[in-house]
Amino acid sequence: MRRTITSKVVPLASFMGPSLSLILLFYFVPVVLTLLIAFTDMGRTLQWHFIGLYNFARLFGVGIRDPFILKIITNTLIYVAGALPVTILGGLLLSILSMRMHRGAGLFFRTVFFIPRVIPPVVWGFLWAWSFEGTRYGLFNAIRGAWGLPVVYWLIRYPMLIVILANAFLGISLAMLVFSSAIASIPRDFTRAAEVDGASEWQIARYVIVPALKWPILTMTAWHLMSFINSYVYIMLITGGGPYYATEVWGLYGYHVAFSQYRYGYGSSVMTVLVVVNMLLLVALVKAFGMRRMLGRGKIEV
Amino acid sequence: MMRISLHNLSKYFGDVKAVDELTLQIQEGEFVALLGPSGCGKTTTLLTIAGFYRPTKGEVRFSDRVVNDLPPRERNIGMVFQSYALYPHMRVFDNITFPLKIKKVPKKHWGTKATEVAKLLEIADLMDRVPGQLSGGQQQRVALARSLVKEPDLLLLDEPLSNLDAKLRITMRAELKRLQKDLGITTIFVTHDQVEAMTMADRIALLEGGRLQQVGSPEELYDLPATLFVAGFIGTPPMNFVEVSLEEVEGRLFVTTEHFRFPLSNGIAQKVHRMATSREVVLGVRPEDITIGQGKIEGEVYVVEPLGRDTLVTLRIGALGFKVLAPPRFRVAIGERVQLAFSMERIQLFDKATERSLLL
Amino acid sequence: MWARARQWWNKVASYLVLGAVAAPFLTMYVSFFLRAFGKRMYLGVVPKEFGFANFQFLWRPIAWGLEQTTVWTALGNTVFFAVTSALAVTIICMLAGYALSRIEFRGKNFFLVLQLFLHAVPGQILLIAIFFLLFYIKLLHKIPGVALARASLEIPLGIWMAKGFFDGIPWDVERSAMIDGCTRFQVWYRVFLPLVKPGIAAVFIWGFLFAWHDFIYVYTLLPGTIKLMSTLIQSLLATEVIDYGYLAALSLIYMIPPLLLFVFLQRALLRVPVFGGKGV
Repeated sequence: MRRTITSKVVPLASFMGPSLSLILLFYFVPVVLTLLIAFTDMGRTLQWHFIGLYNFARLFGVGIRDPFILKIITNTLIYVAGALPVTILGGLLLSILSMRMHRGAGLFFRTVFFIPRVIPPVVWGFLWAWSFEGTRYGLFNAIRGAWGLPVVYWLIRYPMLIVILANAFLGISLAMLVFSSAIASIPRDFTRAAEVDGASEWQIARYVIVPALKWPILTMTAWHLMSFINSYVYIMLITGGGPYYATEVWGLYGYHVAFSQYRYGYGSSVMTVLVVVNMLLLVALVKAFGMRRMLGRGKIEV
Repeated sequence: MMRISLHNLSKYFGDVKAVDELTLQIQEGEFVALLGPSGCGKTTTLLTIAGFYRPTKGEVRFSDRVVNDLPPRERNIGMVFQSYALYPHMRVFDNITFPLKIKKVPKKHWGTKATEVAKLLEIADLMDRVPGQLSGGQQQRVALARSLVKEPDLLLLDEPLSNLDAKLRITMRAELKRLQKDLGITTIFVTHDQVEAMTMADRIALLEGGRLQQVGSPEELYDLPATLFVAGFIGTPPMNFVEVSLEEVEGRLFVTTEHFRFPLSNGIAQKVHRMATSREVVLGVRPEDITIGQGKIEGEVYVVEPLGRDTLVTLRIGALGFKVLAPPRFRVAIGERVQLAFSMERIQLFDKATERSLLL
Repeated sequence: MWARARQWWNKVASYLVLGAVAAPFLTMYVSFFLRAFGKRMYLGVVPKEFGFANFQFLWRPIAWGLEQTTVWTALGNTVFFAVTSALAVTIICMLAGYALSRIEFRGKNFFLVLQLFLHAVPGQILLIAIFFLLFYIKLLHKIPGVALARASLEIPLGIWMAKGFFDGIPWDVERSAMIDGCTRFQVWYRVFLPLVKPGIAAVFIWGFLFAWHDFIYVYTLLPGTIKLMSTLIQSLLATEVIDYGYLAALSLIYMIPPLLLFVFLQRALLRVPVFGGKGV
């Protein structure tokens, strides 16, 4: 029997050990650490000093109140509520239209909209920051200038819109790809039959294509919901959360509190809220989609 | 060289009993076939002997050593897989010498050993090719060479001929048999083809539903099948079966149906007397053990199929159908009524309930 | 007649809509290139002259604020960071992928589903804790340490990718190797790895690309004095006076290595061996 144990466990440990330890070290330990630090007033010196629920009381306005929190919540809601539909509907529109075109033209448009995914975040941020720069050196202002139009202070007048679009078009690049491959797998006879039956383009899209995309739409919605709730890197690169907290979303606020103000304790409590929201969302998703389905579909998951 | 014995070997996958209580002794240098239809447990048995599966119950013994927990690499066996499983990224030479490399045999010996087996299998000129450039037959030879190069105590072959075309199969059949006799390595092979088993093996173990039906030489299985299943599985065209009753009249045993009735020979009658528990039995007669043109049983010709070497005649006796092997160019018209006789010493009788032979 | 016209209009409308949405982006991408190679812009977007003046950083130091570095230092750091991270991802995923494909053990399905969850949880929200953790294990402000932390983000999906590649190898090949005397580890190393070369390339490129593109981990966990391409571009973007042509040129240089890697690895590794025999 001893031989059985060594002959299976030793190789298993050497194959699974590295991945298990890295996942433990960089997922589980950090989750626990985040939760622990959230109950301290850890600052620049990284000292552990537990202060109970003080951070959370502040966060939820019990007794003491964080003056920015309401603004942050509003921003986050607007941001997610804006970016998510734009991503899904935009992805649908672009994939349906491009799949109905001449092959070459469709491929061209899909390439154009896929570019955001293959260029580095910093460059994507640079492109947007430059394009919407408020002086005459900004790309769109320069073009306006060439036509004699005055400069527009894009990032001051429409900061949230720009941030939403910059993120949504990243989402669209993925959603479009997933939807397009799903459309490509719809048998051509389905749409032909609908055409013969006299369905209009709109009806074909509504009654043939969209139902066939049910699962991709669901997964993409869930995926991007989580992604937008947690996202802050692109906002940080384009507006830095400004002007004056106009685009400061939850995750970015947590980051700023921790790494700009060096209040790691409070920053962790802000992030803890996100961790909890993520866990609740995952539980809800598993309930809604079912574990087996997720496992089965895993291979073609993005 | 090695003796193999399986003792009450069982392998279950969940509720499925893939192999059930299999007991089998294989002698040194013997060539044994595990024969049976697909799903009968023959491949599971082979993989258990190889060490890929751990027996659920029972033992696998190599000589006298229980090897249940010994990993495949420590069993010193050679194995040729149905798909040959050559390593596609290695040249033939590297494929053949791979076991030596893993065993840490000094590099200077690789050449001689590889040349030796390559010469034996006539693949010496293929050494620098990769498996993708080889025909099925060549791939099989390479796979054989790879399994032989480490001088195994036991050779396992999983459906060795099934991926070859019909002509090559007949050639390889003979070659494999000769090779096994020359090398004298104890060999077990799995096949679903009774002709392969009959032609190559010293002994055949016939499995069905995970259980051993009969083990014995090809002649034993052919002449004295232990069960109805064995009788039906071995031989083409298959044995004819008729449900009959036994009757004893004045000390003689008779076989009767509504269409014919005949007495059993003394030898058979004695065995049946000893074994039979019921009057309801199944009569089995091989197609070549029926002669047309003499005898007391009358039938009608249903169809005639000339096969060249002989002629297959299907007869009807009432509602019963019989296949008969007649001499070549045997002329008989459809619908003609003929007389026929069974070779009395060669008929088989089985208990209808247990399906076991009454002649053993 | 009308149906024809409507059909025609439907076709044209698709082009118009997509064209209208794509136009700003095309403008951005094209201007980006023109800006990198152009001098003295006309109408803001059309260069009057082409040249490599914007690429002067290739032979001159790059300065922002009071600090300076060279593009070669930044590129070197980025290569070191991305290769370390990609190697970690590749080795770890190739090991785990094999076990998950070939060895039965308890908790295997749980582990696989867990990977999907972990993939869905963005690592950026755990940055504070990772900052503290790296500080505690003395890997903060060190490229290998941060590369390892970054690698962990790509492991969940990398494991699934690797498993998929191993799933494609027939069981008989594994059995054959074990008969030939291989231990599990030898099966993996001597037989399976050579057979999944395209998979190794895919996982490596995957890990490399994300590490190469990474900004937030590098920005947060490495000191300002160690610049990678992403943080270098961001620092220049954050200065008062921004030279967009210079930044466009720098961004272009930043984007070339992954492309080269892809072309190179594709050539070197994507020769797929064919399994012999029928009925595998």
